[in-house]
Amino acid sequence: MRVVIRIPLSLLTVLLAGLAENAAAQTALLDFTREVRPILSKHCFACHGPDAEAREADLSLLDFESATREIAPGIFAVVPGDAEASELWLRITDADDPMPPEAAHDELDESERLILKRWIEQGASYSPHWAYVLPRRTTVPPTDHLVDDFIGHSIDELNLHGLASAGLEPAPPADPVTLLRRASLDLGGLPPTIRELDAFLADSSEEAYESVIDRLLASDHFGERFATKWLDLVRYADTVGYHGDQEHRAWPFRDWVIRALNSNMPFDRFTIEQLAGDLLPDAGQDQFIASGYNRLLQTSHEGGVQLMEYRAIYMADRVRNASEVWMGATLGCAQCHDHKYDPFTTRDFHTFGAFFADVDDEEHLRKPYDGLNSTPTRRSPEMQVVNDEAQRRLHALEAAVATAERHLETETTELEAHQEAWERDLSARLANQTPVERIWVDDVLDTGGRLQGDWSFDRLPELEPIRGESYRRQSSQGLTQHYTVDTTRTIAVQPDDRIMAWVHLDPSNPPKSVMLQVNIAGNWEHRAVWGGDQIAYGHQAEDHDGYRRMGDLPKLGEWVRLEVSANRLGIGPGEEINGIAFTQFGGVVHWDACSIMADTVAPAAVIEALATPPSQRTDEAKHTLRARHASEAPSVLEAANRHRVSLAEVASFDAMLPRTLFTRSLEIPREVRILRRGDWMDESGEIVQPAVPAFLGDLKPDGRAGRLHLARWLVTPTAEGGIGELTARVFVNRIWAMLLGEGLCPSVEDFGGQGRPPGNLELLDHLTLQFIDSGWNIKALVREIVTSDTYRRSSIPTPTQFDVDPENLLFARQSRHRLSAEAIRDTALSVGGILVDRTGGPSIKPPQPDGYYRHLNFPVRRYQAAGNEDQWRRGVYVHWQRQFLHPMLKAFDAPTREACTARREASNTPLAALVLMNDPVFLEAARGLAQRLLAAENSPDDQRLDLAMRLATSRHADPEEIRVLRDVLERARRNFAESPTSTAAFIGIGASPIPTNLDPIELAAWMQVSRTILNLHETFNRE
Amino acid sequence: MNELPRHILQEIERVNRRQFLGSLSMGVGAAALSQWLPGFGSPSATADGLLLPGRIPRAKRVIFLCMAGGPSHLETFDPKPQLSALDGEAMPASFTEGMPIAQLQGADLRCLGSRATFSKHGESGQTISNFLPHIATCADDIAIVNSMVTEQINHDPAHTFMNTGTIVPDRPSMGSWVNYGLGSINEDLPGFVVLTSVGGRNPQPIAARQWSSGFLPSRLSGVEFHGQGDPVHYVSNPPGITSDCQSHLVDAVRDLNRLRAETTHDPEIDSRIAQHELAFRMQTSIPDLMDIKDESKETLEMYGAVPGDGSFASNCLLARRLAERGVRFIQLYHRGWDHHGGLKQYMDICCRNCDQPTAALIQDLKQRGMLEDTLIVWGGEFGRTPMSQGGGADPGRDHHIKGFSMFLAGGGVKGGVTHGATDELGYNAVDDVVHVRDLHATMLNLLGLDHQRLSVPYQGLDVRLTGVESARIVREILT
Repeated sequence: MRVVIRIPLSLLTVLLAGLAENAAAQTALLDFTREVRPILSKHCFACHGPDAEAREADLSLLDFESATREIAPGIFAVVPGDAEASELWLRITDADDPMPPEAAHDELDESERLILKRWIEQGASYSPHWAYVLPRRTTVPPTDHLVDDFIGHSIDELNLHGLASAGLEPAPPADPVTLLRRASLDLGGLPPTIRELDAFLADSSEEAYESVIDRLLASDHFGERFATKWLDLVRYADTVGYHGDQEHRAWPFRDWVIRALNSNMPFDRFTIEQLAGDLLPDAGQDQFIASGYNRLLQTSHEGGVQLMEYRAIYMADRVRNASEVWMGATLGCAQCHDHKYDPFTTRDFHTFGAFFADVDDEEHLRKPYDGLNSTPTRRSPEMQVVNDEAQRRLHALEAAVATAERHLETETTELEAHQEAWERDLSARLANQTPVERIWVDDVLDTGGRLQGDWSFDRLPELEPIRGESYRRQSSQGLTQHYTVDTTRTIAVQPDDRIMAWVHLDPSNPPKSVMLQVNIAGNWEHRAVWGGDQIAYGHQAEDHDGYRRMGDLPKLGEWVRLEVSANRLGIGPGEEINGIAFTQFGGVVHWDACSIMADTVAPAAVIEALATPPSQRTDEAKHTLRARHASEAPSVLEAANRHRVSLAEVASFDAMLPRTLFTRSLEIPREVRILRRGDWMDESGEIVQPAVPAFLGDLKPDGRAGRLHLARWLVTPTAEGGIGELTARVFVNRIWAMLLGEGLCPSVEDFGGQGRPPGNLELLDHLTLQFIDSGWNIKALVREIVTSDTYRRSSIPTPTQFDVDPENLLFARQSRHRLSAEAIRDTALSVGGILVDRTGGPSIKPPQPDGYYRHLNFPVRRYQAAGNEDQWRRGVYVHWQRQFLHPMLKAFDAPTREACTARREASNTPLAALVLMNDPVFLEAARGLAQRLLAAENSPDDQRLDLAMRLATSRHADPEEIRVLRDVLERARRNFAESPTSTAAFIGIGASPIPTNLDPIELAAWMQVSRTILNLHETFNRE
Repeated sequence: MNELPRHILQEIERVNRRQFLGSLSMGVGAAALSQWLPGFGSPSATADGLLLPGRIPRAKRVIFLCMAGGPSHLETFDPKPQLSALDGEAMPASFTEGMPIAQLQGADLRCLGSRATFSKHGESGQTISNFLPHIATCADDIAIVNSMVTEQINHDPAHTFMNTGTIVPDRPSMGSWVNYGLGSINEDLPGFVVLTSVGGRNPQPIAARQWSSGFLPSRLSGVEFHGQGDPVHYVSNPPGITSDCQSHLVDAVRDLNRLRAETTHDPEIDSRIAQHELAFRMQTSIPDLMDIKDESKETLEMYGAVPGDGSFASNCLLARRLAERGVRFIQLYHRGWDHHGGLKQYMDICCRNCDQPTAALIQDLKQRGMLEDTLIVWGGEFGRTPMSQGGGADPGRDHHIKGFSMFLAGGGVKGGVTHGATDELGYNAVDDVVHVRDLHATMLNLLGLDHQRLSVPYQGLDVRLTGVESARIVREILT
């Protein structure tokens, strides 16, 4: 849920003043940041705030000086100490002409008016907005033992201090089961195993807890769990988002985030690599992948997009995202006008956007029709991703190329010795006119060009190839065709040349007909058909070049050569074949070498060179003869073929390597103009250079500032010219919110004036500075928080806590909340014992309802659910289709990731209940759980029921719960015993094998028990 | 721990619900209260402070017929003899210079006269083309707006703009806004239902974003009902599980959840129990609702619907059934209107799919006395250029945003009027221009909502469906 939570200011006042008497509150000195500024921001700043253009009556209430200035003769908005003389007070209480004006529908309530009055009377003192004030060190003794054990915890001291001033008592510590479950879900996104529970319950000493935390921090699950949060922020997804929502290749970025978190990359480095990894002097593959951050935005591959419009849209998107992710700022709001509430100007928006003007990302806008309407689409520039294993394989393949090359050289050299003999032989053949065969395709398709159909070459044990190493095996239900066309290697033919291909027709399943076809200069109308008339291409009653009947099918069960002369297919002398197609109707056909047999023994140039006496031959003539010799020598042909195959293997491995988008910097960045009112068609605005928001400083770069400057500025301490402390505070607050359910600053998405001030700023500041001191150490920060008593408290509130701090902004207790969508999936799979725990790789597609993608087009989509064990992997790896997110993830509030999501909602809807009850994935998990329960042989029912509860909720069942579950079990046993077909259907769900050693009725009955447990609130709640 | 006093429990519940809903500002009055309650909202919730003072809402619900792809105004409601006279001639540059252009960027721009013939219909004598003979019979019931303008020229953003009033991601769709403002009528059904139809030409892609609640609570999101297959995802029992069996499961889950609530006092558990029970009821009620076999033969014929065919005709009939059961906002998408080429051919196909069912829906609601409090809106995300696109015997038209047509009917809309006009070539809306945000303001007004007050604070802004610019209620077409 990304909505700013507002509580009535009166409540906030009470909250901060504790349970003090009203009278005391009336005289207490107001805190400008917490009590006054929010009122001014909400009701006044729209017209009397930072946006100079929108300013009314030339009055700004932003600072003391402006507010107390004489705005008209004898008129002052604020006269410090004298409310009755202040125009502000007079107007907000003026029934006839009130402020804010009636038309604004923005009336102040009584308590707000009185606060403003008291503020004026107390001297109208201002203080700068808290989020732009540097974090301050508090008097808490410095703790430099981030990772060591220590006594006394600074978080707790500051937290207790905050509680005391509000008159609150901390909640008691959580029980060990709750605590272990909480830490396991928070740090790894999975519930603890029984073994982990038992070990912890046997020793819940401080040391035992800390070693649990260390185990959780060291697990790969840590990165998977925390990545989810980060991926929401940077809006990572597997599809482009707009219009056709085609897939793009971004998953290596997701893996990079997981790796970076698991290897505990410092947050400053983590920041720099994403915003500008490509610009680092030592940039390697990982830094380029990280720089993919700049490409994660939604893109449109719709025909008819206007370049300048989308350029503006993309820039705004990048500004919105980067400013929200790292600065907790809504800089995006300053696109059309100066920010209404924060000191960001429209110029700031554009200068910030200019940092990204070098991101090369416009191919799809410039060439919308260039095949980009396909899926996966191309997001140029893309890079290959080579992991260690791939690197080894690539080395091996390249070594094979080198070997083949040497072999070819040797064979070619050895021919020299036989050159004269060959020339004599050629002369003899010329006399006899013996034909020569030129191989075009054998064992590998290396002609270049476009292709269709499966061109994989194969070799089955039961059939030896007739030529080379392999052949293609093609089985067909009807008409099937393989072709290659627009080849870069072409072959010129003479009318008498024969076009040939070897075939072996399976006698047990022969085709109805087979066809050879060639393409000459784009024309496919050259076909030869054997067998029946089933192939429709070119088919006419009378034979023609485009359909030549060659008679019956060749003999079955042996290698036979199909051949047809060029002139029968209407091919003229010297015409070049640049494409060939193999077609069959039905059956199984093995296709081997395709070649051209020339009845002319040699081309004219060869004959002429041969006729020239050796002493008079030019170098060219000698070369012609040697080349011809090589082209006829079996040993060289063999070596050349092997060489071709080895090259093709490198090429095909290369093509199979994953690709991903990354950031490439344009040599000349795009020009960025201030677009007035955000209008992209207005080209009259001033051209601006990259710069940070003016009120936050100036980069003073040598030359043009770039993304690297921006990234470094974000994580450099103020003393050295950056805003590192502010950035760190935004991040620390996010981590706190992940672990305590709410941020220390509750508006995690907005640290600006319209956000909510922190309930305990001292604690936030303290953690921020400690985080920077630790070297931006994320795991140390997490450890620091989860080892505090504050983290370990019970989440069950006391009445007083509810009265004073209903939203738990001061953290007297822990929070209780539903798990994230991914954690719900992972928990169900894990409890069911079917979770496949493997990190990384392309996104996976679990089953989803049929036809869910019916609204996608360009191209029409068909969802192919993973048939293998990938379907049981963790939620963080699930394919993220922005327009149609997997219905299970969506039902549990996973965001579409069209934009930055800083806070997820935790809704409670019937659609989510339907998922838990009926989604086949959850049923499969239930069957898995049933199998686990039944695996304990001779175990009494009650013991199994207790185990089930423990697996799902980590705690033992109480007797009353056992009674309910036993009732479910017995009733299910009776029902399933009556209907074997229902039983079979029920246990047959999903893709995992059905155990055959279990009584189906028992399995079904326990599955129903498991379903019950996988529908409980507690199973998917973190407490 | 000890049993908490009852008033504390109520407080916990109140606060938790607020947290759960997230904070829609306290200033919106009671509107939101309906949203904290289990189910899709409480029946007959009203929205003090959002409702227009002293005004009785004219419409209780909306059926929005989204003609996705953008139908041509020049072949439906907006005849332009001058354009026909210039057929094949160059489009005067004075119209097109400096204007946004979609697929015709860099192309030779030529006029394409209307492929339709127009005639007067009804007592009001409204001008409607021969492509829409059935809608023409409703001429006296509909208000045609011939002066629509929008700001987005490509489909996806244009739909987003039509539905949310902006292209900024993550903003609520109008169905979510309306349900936020008014609450639900039937707590057992979603207040915002979307149906899409099959048939016609290569369909527009349409994103679930179009019916998303954006930053509003997800229970306000449009729920897609499917005309074919499971009407709602996961609404069918698992194989081998009878309704009885499922009912036992829901009971057991309730009992166990209640036991847990006794120890934890977590009010969210009550909500969970309610959601499970509602989900179970939906498993019966939604398939019943979606099964149109019990409709009379006359009704099926009037719409041209064949049960289970997933057509626009079936969906129009389903829209009536949803409206009868109290669904607040119903959106029907037909995705075949993007006629870049083959304009005549595809107008024939699309109008055959959509014309009769639309007219049937109007007539059917009328004869059931429901038209007076049901607002119907018909139109696309934009119109089409007066310029031709593609050659051949049957060229098409490109996307066009500076002038196009929509119509409204029922729910307080005056019948038999035509509002606004484009210029002589049908390029720019020139008289009584109606911007998308004016349409939104008008729709909200008919529902009794003040478009200026229907706002939610989000990321520092008071966000409205009509945005920050001023919007005008098109009073000329209201009764």
